[in-house]
Amino acid sequence: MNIIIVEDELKTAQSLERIISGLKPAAKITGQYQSIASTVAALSAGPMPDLIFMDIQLADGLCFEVFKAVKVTCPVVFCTAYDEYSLQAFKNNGVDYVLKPFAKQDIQEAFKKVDELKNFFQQTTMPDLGDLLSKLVPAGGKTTFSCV
Amino acid sequence: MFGLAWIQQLILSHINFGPVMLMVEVRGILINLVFYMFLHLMQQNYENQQVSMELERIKSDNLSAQYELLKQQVNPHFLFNSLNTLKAMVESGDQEAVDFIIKLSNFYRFTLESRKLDLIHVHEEMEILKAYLFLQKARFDGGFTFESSLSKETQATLIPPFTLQLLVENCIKHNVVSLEKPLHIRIYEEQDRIVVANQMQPKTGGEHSLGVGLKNIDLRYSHLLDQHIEIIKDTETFQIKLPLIYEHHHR
Repeated sequence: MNIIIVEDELKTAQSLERIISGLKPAAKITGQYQSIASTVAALSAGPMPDLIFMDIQLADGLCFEVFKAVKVTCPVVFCTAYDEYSLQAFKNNGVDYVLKPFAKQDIQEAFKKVDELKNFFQQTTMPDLGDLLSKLVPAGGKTTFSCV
Repeated sequence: MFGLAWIQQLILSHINFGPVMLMVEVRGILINLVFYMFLHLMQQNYENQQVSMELERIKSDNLSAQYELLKQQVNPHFLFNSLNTLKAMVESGDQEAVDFIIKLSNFYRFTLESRKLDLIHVHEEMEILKAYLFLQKARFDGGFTFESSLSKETQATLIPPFTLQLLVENCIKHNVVSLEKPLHIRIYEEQDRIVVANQMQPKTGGEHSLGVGLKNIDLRYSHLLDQHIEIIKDTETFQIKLPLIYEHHHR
């Protein structure tokens, strides 16, 4: 699992990194960014990570600017000290909204939610695809029949 | 009433009603008086009700204003961000954590104590500001610099509590504060004014809530000494000029 952390406070970013590596030793933190500009640059250049931890008030503005500039396709866990942006977070890929100061447990719950959602979508999309495939084959057979 | 009686006496002077007329007149006056008193009472009652309603309204307005003020002073954003920084410091075993707790409690003590006061000395305000800056420095790790050059005389003048703190907080809130682009905040004096200045590097897409805090400060100055603060804003710098308040003007 590739994770990036967007956080303008160095201390908080380090603390979050420690918690993540404690909870998910397999996860790899592929980047840490402090501002909208650097996050946009990183996301548009490199591959999309599997999860983003994002502070809302960044060094150069609100993090929602990132979503206007780049298409973000992965889930985002928002971390902030205050609850006034919950609606906007919900509209921008937010799967969880962690209030600072956060405990290890809060991050654990966020991970649990991400995993559960991922499982859910995998389970529901797989049979659908199979269904579609099975429908495609007889349809092809029929056309050839009618042609002959 | 008496006028009417007199006119009647004048016109109908040839008929003598005797004491009957007097009785009728007195009765008329009494009835009128009773009606008048009744109406008066009704009106008084109505006015009383209006006044008490107005009073209630003012009371509730006042309460909500006080609540807003209190909320602004407790400053939940700042409190939670500070607690978050503190948590990170404790986790990493930072030696400055103890200092941080003391500065944070000092800051909140100032908040509670100076609430009762209209004016404090500038050097007291600088103490508040220093505590505040210490807390913010711990949070932003050198994302901004601060320098002040106020003379002893200026430090002895007065200022509404938390004015400088609020202005500096505004600077940090509305501008980019980062290591790559440090914000320089300066406080200096200039012709009977205290000036708070910073370079303009506004955050992108930030909400333009700038104004409520400044308006409050301006309101306090105009209440206290009938003067206004100056706001000078161009593309490069942002300056607020506060008039000095001398002690002998007030005591």
